[in-house]
Amino acid sequence: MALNDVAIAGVHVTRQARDLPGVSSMDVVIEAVRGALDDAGLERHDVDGACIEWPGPGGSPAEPSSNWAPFFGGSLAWTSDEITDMGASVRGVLKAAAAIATGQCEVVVLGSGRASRSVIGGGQATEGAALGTTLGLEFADPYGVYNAPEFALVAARHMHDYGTTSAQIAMVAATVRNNGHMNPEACYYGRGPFTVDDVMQSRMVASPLHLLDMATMNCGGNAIVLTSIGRARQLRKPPVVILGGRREHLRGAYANPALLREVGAMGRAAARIVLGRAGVSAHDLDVLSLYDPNAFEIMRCLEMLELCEPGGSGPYVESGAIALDGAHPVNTDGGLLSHGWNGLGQMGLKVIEGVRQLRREACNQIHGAELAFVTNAGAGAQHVELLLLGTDR
Amino acid sequence: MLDGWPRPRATTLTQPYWDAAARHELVLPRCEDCGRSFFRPEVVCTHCSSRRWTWVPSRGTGTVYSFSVVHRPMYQGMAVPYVVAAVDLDEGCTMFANVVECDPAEVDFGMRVKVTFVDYPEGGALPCFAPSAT
Repeated sequence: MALNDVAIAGVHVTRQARDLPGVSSMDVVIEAVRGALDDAGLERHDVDGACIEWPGPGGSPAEPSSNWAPFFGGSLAWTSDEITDMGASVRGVLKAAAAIATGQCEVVVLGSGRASRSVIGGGQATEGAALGTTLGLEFADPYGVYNAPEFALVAARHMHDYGTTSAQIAMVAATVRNNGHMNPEACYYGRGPFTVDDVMQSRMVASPLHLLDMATMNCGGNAIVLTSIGRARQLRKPPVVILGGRREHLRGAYANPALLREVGAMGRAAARIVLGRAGVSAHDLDVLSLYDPNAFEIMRCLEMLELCEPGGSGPYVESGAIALDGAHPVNTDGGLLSHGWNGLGQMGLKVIEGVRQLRREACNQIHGAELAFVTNAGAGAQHVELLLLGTDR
Repeated sequence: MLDGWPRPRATTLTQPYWDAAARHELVLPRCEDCGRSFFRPEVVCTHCSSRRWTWVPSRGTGTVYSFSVVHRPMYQGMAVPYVVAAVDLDEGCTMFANVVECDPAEVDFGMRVKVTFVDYPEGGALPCFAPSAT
């Protein structure tokens, strides 16, 4: 088997909200896992692979995924405990798919959830501090550096090198937030519509990124079920095929500044490999689900995919290409910007929107979508993860 | 300025860096095999993987490659705005720093800067950068 013999058979997204009073993080994860199994038409006992957050209490903290073995009615053949795999991230989906393709297991569930915004996942508590403050970075922390400035440094240099404007970044943010405004599942449902001016008038967090250029923090969970394409065809939903994927890691995330001259092209070669092996080009992509901790990363990904020249993403966005009626609609669910950034699961929300589009189940459905491209991480993190999804043909 | 700011947590690898900073000296790793400097300090040279590197004094001069004026502080209680920068040192490596001794509005891409040390009240100092004529 190869990667493209593996399919996503089930997905579930719980309610996403700024706060979820009255439930525990564990409740949210269980709901996500059960929901994804129901979506697939599978039973708990069918599962033999797990990459799922275990918020506790109970179980063993050291290997959270193993704690799920009794829940799945027996032993597990495969697990992953990397927090960057949980939440059904691109990375986790690729690892799980590789495990299935190599016969190490047959049905894998990935998932996560949180009921409190003060927890990221993997035991990292933030107590209201800015995202990225708990990483223990000796040569970043003392300068007041956290996620937003890390990414902002790349955006700022892009504006200097290419003349990218705040209005162009804001246009990306407004476009994606308006998708969230129309998505009943999104935290920002009904809270728009947003104009470029609305985004630019919101308070500056770390120049050039305004509050509305950045992801919203919320609670909720999600889960994904993968299995072989043969098995998936027997289940409830149209299989969504893992057509390929790849990553690029420049260095350890956040320890030293991300520099546009290094991260601008990050993932470009990997994307060429993924698309080339699938026999498609970026122009064939029907839907883009691009990691958006901030609107600028979307722009970087458009250049990474070579849909425009390096530095050309500003005019490209102004042309309307990423709108719902554009050539390459981006983040049709509202993205992390306005659907949600829910702890670890935010990485999986990108995958799930790709899946829903290809199943014809999306809120803002793109007619005839056959190919979806999903990314996680990006500029400030100095790594990027890529996933190509397709309909079962 | 550093009231409520996180303190650097030195390791055996980096203690010489912070000891030098306390003396108001900026030192950088320089590889004895390939001759290049790298930052942040690592066990092996990030250019050629050699373990043979030493701390050498830096001229302390560089250029602002990029910067961000931060309005939402890392932790509540830290004074804002402050300027985070990626500074390209003339020795050929790049580091995070704060740009100080000027209005944030004066900071610009390609600006020449020189190291200046901001003392922690309890001892020790943080290498930062200020605008420089050269």
